[in-house]
Amino acid sequence: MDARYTVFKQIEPDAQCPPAVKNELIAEIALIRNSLTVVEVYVDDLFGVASAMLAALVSPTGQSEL
Amino acid sequence: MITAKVTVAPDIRRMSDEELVRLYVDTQSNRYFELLYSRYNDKVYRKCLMFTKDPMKAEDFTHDIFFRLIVRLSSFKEQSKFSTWLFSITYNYCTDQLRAARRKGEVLVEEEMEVPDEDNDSEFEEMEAKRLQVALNQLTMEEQSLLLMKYQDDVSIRELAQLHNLTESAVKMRLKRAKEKLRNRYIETVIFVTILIAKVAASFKFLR
Repeated sequence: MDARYTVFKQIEPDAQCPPAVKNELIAEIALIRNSLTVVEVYVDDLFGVASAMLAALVSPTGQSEL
Repeated sequence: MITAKVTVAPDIRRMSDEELVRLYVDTQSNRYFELLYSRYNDKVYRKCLMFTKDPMKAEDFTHDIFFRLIVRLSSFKEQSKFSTWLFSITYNYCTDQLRAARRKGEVLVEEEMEVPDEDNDSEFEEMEAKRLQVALNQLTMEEQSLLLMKYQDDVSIRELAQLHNLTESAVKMRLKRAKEKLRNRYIETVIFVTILIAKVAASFKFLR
């Protein structure tokens, strides 16, 4: 680092990030992942039910019962 | 004779930032992100504090910046160092959040000029940190970000050009203008303080 610009390093504050920030972030990531898992399970279930209903409507001979 | 093959787990603390990003994207395992976080959280917080001057706001900004980082990690293409990319997100976020309170910087159309690599910047060596901070606060957010990335974070001209979608000449020109403005603001603060001291000294003399 060029010594001419050392003063720019000196103006950086000497503070530390509060530890709570990390806990909040980890908790939020977990919440989002769990929510996505729940959505995936329900969507999968929904498609399963829909395809089972469609299959029930079609007779073994391949003809629609409607 | 029985020989056992022992696999030693790699010490992730020795891994580069870029390796940690790749592993996090592949495995989604929090420990890689947590290590990246521990390496840079203080630095990001300090930058936010420099701009906001408010520890509570700086804490909020830091949280939001790392949240953005998690969401965007899969889009990191390793065209620059991870730290450069993170600092760019930091400065952009702070600039966006604080822009409403400050006058927007002018957008200049740069001419393609040959700019020398290093100006004669020897006077920066003599500058006092506190007065430099005061002078820096009088620049636009974009000018501050550019100067801090170059001289505080040691980001190269090439990386700055890539981040801002500019040519290297354009980056050098913006740096040159920002430094000149900073120099002028610094001199103004020095003159102001000198005049103030002279007036106080004169009034003491008068009172005697």
